[in-house]
Amino acid sequence: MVDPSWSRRRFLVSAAGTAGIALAAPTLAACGLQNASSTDADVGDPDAGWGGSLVSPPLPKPDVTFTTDKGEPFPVREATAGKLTMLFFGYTNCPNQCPVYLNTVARARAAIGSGPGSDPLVVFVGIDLKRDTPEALRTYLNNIDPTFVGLTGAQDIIDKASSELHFAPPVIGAPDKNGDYFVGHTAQAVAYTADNKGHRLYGYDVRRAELVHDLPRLAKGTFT
Amino acid sequence: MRSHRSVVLFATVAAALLVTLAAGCGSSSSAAGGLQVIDATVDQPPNPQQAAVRLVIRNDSATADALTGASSPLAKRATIHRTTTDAQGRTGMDMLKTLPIPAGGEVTFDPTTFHVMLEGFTKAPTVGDKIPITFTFAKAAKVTVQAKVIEPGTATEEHDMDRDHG
Repeated sequence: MVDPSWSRRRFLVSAAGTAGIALAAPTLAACGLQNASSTDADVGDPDAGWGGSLVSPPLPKPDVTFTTDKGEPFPVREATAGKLTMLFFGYTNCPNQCPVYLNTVARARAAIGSGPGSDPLVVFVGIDLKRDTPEALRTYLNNIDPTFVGLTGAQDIIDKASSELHFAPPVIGAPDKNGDYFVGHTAQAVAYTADNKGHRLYGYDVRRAELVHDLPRLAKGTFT
Repeated sequence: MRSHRSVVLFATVAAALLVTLAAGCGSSSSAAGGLQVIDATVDQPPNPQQAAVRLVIRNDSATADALTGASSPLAKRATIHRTTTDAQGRTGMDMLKTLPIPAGGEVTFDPTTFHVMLEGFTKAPTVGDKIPITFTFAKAAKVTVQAKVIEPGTATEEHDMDRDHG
């Protein structure tokens, strides 16, 4: 017997994937706070007992080379090969979603302490090319967790990476009279396991308890 | 009979006292004509130039009101933002000139809904600091609260504790 929530979510994610449209709208709902309340404890639900949501088929690693906040090239596939990796697109003038997510990962790492899942490679891609300078990225991440890696790249590199993940490209708004502008981005982290596939997506509002639970299992290659 | 009435009276006073104490437990609370700004907190921000404020505005009156502005002597600008998600799943923000506060209702400002955005600090906010913020309403008098700068993550992890124990 096919569990309806399993087939529905699978359909949503894979349909979004193949059609090249953003999968964020359905998955955001699945990744958010509602997920934590675990109303979907049905047998066969791939997300029962997990934070975030399963992506099936899994997401690839973007075939692009970013630049680190130290100015070094960061070919995503080579630099993250075989490592538990959390990939997120954000910006340093992001007051809410980015720090909430990054702090949650940092606090989950601290809570796990040592052993599997305690040292994920956390990469933060700055999409606001004007303000996300290497210095700004480093300051921002050092204030949260110095092990996190800040990346930047030209617009076409960021757009290519977004597209390979079926994320809508980031949008930069028009500046106001103070020169401030809004940025729109897919505020979800892709979790890649050692097989170099992105099996789970986490919303920015993932709870620490969920990551404390999930990261050690992801580090062992388990994702359902 | 008399003693029974005293017990009732005592219980009423005790309950009233508890309500007062409970109101005092929040990080900050202030009332103006039935409008309260409760639990204003700021996660210590990674970008020293800007921060988002969480809070709850409660309208205990029978009159609908609206938040029309915010200001702080410690920040160059304070604006009201709404968190948005567009049709393609991108998260972003809108600036609001006014935010309705329904009669007898409350509006929660958290990372998924609204926030007061503070920008251009005279000093980077650090855990333990208090940031005075004055809220302006269409009808009610201004309300000033002290937003407490807290360790990031602690605002939501309290709920996790509830869940873990629940």
